[in-house]
Amino acid sequence: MAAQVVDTIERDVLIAAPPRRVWDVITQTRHMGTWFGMPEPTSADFRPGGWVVFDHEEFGEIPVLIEEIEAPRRFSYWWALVGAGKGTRPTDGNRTLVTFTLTEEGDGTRLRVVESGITAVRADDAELEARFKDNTEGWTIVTEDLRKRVEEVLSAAG
Amino acid sequence: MGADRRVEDARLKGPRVEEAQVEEARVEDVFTGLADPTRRRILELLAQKGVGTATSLATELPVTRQAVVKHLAVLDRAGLVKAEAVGREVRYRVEPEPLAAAARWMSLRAAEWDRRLSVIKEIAEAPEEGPDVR
Repeated sequence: MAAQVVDTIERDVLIAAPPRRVWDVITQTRHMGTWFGMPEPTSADFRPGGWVVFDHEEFGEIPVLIEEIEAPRRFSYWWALVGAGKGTRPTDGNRTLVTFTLTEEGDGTRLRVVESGITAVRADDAELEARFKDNTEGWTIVTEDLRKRVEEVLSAAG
Repeated sequence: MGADRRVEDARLKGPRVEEAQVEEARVEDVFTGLADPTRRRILELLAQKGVGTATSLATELPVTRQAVVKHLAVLDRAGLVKAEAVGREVRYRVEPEPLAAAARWMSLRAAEWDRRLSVIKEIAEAPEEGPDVR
């Protein structure tokens, strides 16, 4: 079987516009909703530790926590993967990190996005922790280790 | 949790939303199943040996049989192992399909990033207009 579980999503695109222009599209509220696939954010505090809040008509508030913002090169934020919506904030057990990097390439910009930490999410962790209090190693996993091990399991399973 | 899981699809616009919904509920369980070194080791042992019991697994792990039973229950719930009662024993095998489902879910999420990047590209390459575009 060829399947494997990979922790990180990486994608990139070449854009025929200078980094400054691409940066504006990524970080201006009037554009953010468009590429997020949501209405324009209801509030936006563009600094590390600041929040950008989307208010989805069906699912309620989706808060996004800014990690880095270095114009016009690097923008990263945390968002909740599990239990997202209804104002659920990203925390250690439920969040992934999305990082945009902009690099000049010819007359254009290479825009790269990496979403990482997906296998570090914990579903129903309160319940599980109650059941497995004897587990002192905790629930945070080393993702590279996981990826390797899953591949080993799958290759062994043939 | 069902409603919460659907919220993720707020970010998954497009024809693949329903498929993603189905996968996501399972994927969370898979990640939970994998989110512990002992359980990953149990999966490895079962993959190597083809079949195992709580007792046989406990002899190869630094945890009690009782702890192995609990881990097997989590793996079972995640669909990562298949249990079969043979006499008084319960034998377990690796069930690879949920891992494949998790991989498919990741592909959908990656496709959603492709969509977002193409929207960003489209806006950035369009002629600039409006007073607040620098």
